[in-house]
Amino acid sequence: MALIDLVDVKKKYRLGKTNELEILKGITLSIDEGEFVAIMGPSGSGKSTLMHITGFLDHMTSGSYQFDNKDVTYLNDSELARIRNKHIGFVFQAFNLLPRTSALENVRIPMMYARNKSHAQMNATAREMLERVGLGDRIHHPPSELSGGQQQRVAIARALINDPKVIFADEPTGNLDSISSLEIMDIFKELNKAGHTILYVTHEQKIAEYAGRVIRMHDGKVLTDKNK
Amino acid sequence: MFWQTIKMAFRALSLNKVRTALTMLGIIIGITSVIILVSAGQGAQSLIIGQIQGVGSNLIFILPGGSQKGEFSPPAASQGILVTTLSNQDIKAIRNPILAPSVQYVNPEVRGQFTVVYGNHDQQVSVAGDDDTYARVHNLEFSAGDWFSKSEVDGFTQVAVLGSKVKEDLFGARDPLGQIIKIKELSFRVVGVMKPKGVGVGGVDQDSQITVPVTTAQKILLGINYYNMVQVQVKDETYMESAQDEITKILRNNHHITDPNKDDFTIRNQKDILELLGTITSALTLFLGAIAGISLVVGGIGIMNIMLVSVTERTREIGLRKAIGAQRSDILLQFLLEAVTLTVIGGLIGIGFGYLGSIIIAHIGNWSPVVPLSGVALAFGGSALFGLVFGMYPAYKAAKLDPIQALRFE
Repeated sequence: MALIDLVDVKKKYRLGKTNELEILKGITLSIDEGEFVAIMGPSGSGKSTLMHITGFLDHMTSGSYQFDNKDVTYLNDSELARIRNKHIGFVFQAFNLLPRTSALENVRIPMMYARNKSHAQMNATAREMLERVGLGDRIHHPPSELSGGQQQRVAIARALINDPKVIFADEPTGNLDSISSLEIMDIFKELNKAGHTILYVTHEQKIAEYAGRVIRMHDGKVLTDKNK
Repeated sequence: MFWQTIKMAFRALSLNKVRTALTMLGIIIGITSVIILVSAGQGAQSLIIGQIQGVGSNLIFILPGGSQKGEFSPPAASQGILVTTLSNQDIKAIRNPILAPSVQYVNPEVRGQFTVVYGNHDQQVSVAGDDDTYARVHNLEFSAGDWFSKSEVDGFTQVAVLGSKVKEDLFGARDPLGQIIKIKELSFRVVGVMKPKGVGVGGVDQDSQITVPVTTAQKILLGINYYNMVQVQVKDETYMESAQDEITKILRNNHHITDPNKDDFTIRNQKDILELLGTITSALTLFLGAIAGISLVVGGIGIMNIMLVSVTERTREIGLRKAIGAQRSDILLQFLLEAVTLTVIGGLIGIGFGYLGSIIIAHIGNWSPVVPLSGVALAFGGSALFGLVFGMYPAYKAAKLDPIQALRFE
C-alpha cells in the first residue's frame, strides 16, 4: 500500500476578481514507503506547490489525498499542524534556522511542539541527532558560526527529530557550493538506505541523479515519472 | 512548555535590547507616575486629615446663622451676612455643667481686621479674640512666651499673642516679648509667639494672625456683644452626639426657636469636616491616577506597535515554526508572553521607580510616604493586563499567518 496517494489534485489561485491561475492541473501520484524521489521542472511548473500540498502546508482546491491509508483531504489547520509535527520533516533551501539560537535548540523546537518529552530527553535526542549528521562538536554554535553545509545539516537533524514518515526537501542544495551539495545529498542517501522516505525538489540534473525515481513536471502536470 | 516559551520570550527581547528598553520605558513611566501620583494623593490626604485630627477630634463648632438647604451648605455667617445672635448668655448656658454635662471647654471667638503698628512697621492683620483655654484645646506650641491667662481674659487685659509670620514681619529677629504694639491705635503688650502652625480649621492662616483675649477683642477693639464662632471641646468623642443635642437644646431655648428648620445657628463637628475633606482628596487622588493612567495607555500602544513590527520582522520564523508543527495557539502564546514579559518587567521597574519617587515627593511635601500595597498590586496586575490586551492583536496576527506565505516572506 502506498504511503502517499494523490488522485487528480488541482490547485487554483485567484488573481484579481475574474482571473484564475491553475497551478496544478490534476496530479495523480503515489509514493511508497522507503522511496527516494526527486521532482524536477522549470520554475512555475508547480513542483513547489505539489510539495507543499503533499507536505500538509497547503490545501488543494480539488482532488483527494490518502496518507498512510488515511483520507487527509479535508483536514483543518490544527490537524495539519499536528501531522506536520509528527509525520513530516522539512528541509528548506534557505535552511530557515532561528538566528542567534544554538544548533541544539534549533533541533529541539519540533519536540517542544510535540510535547511528549522531558527537557532532558529533548536535549539528549537533539544531541544524538546532531551527532548523526556529523555535527556532534558544534551543538552550541549559532547558525552564524556554521557554514552553509553545516546549517543544512542542522536543518536535516531538525527534520528528523520527531522520527517522521516522510522528509520533504525544497531545493536543499540551492544555496550550497558543489562540495557541500554532494555532502548533503550523501546524507539523504544514507537516510534513505536506513529506511526514510525522501521527496525533494531540484532543478539540477546532477542532484536529481541521487534519487531512485525522478518525476518531471511541466505546466502543472506530470510529464515523466521514471524509476531508475 | 510554558517555561520554554518564557525563556524564548526573554531571548527574543534580549536580541534587540535598545528597542526593548525604549518600549519598556513607556510602561515604566506610566506605572511610575501612577504610583507616585496615587501615593502623593494619599500622602496629602493623610497629612490634611492628620492636621485636622491634631486639632482634636472632639471639637464642635457653633456658627451663627442657620443652614437649612443642605448638610454642607455654608451657614449665613460665612456668606458675609452679619448674624449677631450668639450672645454671652448662650456661652454661659453652654458652660453650665447641668445644662450641658458633655461639654468640657467653651471657647467663644470674635474676629476683626485691624491696622497693627510696631515702630515704623504697620500692616493689616487679622485679629482673633479667644479664650484662655484655646491654646490647650488646640495644643498650641510657643517659640517664646505663653498664652494669656484666665485672669487676663477676665480683666480685659490688652495683651497679644503673635503668629510666627506676624512676628517676623513686625519684629524680624528681635525679641518681641514685653514689647508694646498698637492695634487700632490701642497699646497691647506681646506675651507670646506661636510656632509655625499653618492653615487651621476654616481656612484661617494662624501664622499671620494676632490673638488677644476674647473679652478685650469683643468690648474694646470691636465694641460688640455677640460672637463670630464658638468652639466647644467635648469631654470625650463618645459624647459628641449628646453634646450636640445639649447645645442645640440650649440655643433653641435661649433664642425662642420652636421650628427646627428655623435654627439661627449651625453646629459642625470634626467628623463632618473630615468626611468632606476625605471626599475631596479621594476625588483628587482618583483624578491624578486617571491622568497617570493615560500615560500607561500610551505606553501600551507603544508595546502594540513594537510587537506588530516584531511580528512582521519575524514572519519567516513564524512560518518555519508553523511548518515544523506549531499550532496557532503556540504562536499566539509565544507572542503574547513576549508582550506580557515586556510589560511585567517594565511594571516591576516602574514600581521600583514609583516607590523611590513617592519617598522623594513625600519628603518635599513633608508628609509620611504612603505607597499603598493595593496600588502596587494594581500596577503590577495592570501592566500584565496591558501586555495581554495590547499584545493580543499582534499575537493574533502572527498566529493566523499562512505558513507558505510566511516562509516566502522576504
